[in-house]
Amino acid sequence: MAKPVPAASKRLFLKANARAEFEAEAMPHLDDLFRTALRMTGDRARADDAVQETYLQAWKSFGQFEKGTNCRAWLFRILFYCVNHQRRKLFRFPLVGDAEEILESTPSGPEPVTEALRDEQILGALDSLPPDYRAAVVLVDVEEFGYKEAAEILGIPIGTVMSRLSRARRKLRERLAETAKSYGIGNRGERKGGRGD
Amino acid sequence: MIKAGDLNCAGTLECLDAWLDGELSPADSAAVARHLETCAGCSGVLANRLSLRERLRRVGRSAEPAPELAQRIHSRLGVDDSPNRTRRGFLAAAAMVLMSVGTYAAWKSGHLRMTPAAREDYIASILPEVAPVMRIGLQQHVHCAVFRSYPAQAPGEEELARDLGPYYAGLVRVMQTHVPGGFRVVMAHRCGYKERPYVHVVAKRGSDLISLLITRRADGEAFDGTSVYSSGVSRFSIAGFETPEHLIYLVSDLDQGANAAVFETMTASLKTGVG
Repeated sequence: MAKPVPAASKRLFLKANARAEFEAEAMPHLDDLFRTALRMTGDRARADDAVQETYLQAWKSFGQFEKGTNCRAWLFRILFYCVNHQRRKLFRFPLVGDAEEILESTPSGPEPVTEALRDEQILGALDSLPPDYRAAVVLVDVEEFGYKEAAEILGIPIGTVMSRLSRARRKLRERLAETAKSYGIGNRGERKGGRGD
Repeated sequence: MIKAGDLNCAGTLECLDAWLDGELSPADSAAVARHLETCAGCSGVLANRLSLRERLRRVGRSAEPAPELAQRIHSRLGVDDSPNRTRRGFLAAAAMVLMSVGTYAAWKSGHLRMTPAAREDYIASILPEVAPVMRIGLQQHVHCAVFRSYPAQAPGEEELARDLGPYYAGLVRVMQTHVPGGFRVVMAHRCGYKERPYVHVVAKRGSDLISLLITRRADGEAFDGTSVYSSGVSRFSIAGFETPEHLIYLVSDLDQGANAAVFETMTASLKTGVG
C-alpha cells in the first residue's frame, strides 16, 4: 500500500491478509470435503452444514496450522470431527459399537465384475457400510490418502485403519457380487477356498 | 495355482490391496509384483480390484457442492473474522469506523490478495479443474481482475473506451448494457498473461466481479461444438464461445446459470462486433 493507513486499519488489513491466505489454502479443497461429508452424512443439507462448520473451525485454528504441511489432510481431520459431532448431536446417544459383526465375512470372498454394475449400485454398497468402515474406504480409495494420513484424520491407530479397510473392502466386494448375481451377472475369479499357505 | 517367487497366491491376495495402496515395503512390493507377473489367476483378481477401485473413485467423486456453498462459507468467514478472537468486537467496530473508503474497498476485494508467487500458486491450483480451453479465460480473470484494487470512483465510459482503442471501444457499452443491475464497468484495457494478449473489460458490484475477455484464437483451441460452453471452479463461473478468429469469455462471481445467461445475451452483440 502506497499511502500510510491508520494503525487499526492496518491491523484489519493484516487480518484480511490472513483470511486471504486461509482461503487460498483451504478453499480449493471445498469439493473434496463436500463429497466426503455427503458420503458420511448421506444428506446434502447436513453435508453443507458439516463443511461450513469445518471451514469456520479451520479458520479459528488457522494460527496453529503449520504452513507447508498438508492442508487437505488437516481440513479432513476437522471435517471428521465435525461430522462425528453432528452425528452425536443428532442421535443424542453414544455411538455403540460400529457393528464389527456386520462385517464378519469369509476370508477370501468373491470378486465382482464391476463393469456390469451401475454407479448407484456401487454407491449403495459403499453407503451400506457402517460409518467407521465407510470412512476408511472413502479416505483411502476415493480421496487417495495414505494409511498414515487416514489414521491421523480419523484419530485412530494405523493398524485399525488397515483392518477396517480390509474388512470394508471385502464386504463391499461381497455386496457387489450379490448385486451382480441377482442381475444374472457372473462373478469373475470366484476362488474355491484354496488358501495355499 | 502357480507358485512363483517367495509368495503364493493366498499370500499375494492377502496383501494385494496394500500393494495397490502403495503401502508395502519395497521387498514385499517386489515379491507381489514377481508373483503377479507369472500368475494369471492373481492378475485376474488384480484387474478386477483395480477396476472396482476406479469405479469407486469415480462415483465417490461425482457429487459436487451447490455453487452457493463457497459463497456462504466466504461470507460466514467474514462475519467471524478472526483466528484469535481477543477483543474482537470492539476492535473490529472501531476499525470499521476508522477505515477509509479506499481501504475498505481493498479489504472487501482483498480476499484473494497474496504475494505474486502465492497468486500464481492459486491460479495453478484451480486451472486443472476446468477444461484447457476454459483456463485461457479463467487465468486472466483471476490474474488481472481479482488480484487488483479498484479506484473508489470509476472512470467515465468514454475514458474507459479510450483505453481499448477504436476497434474495441464499443465493448464498454455492450458490457454495461448486459451486466445485471448494480454492476458498473470499472476497467477496460488491453493486458497480457503468459505472452497471451487480451482485451479485458471488468464490471464490479460490491466485491463481485465480471470479466469479459477476448483473445486471439490459436490453432487447436476450440470449445466442444456447443455455441456457449459453461463451467465453474471454486467461486468462479466461466462461459465461453469462439468466433473464427477469437475466443471470448465471461468469467464472474455470479452463479454458473446467471453467468451463462448474461453471456448468452451478450453474444449477439459480440458476434457482430468482433470478427
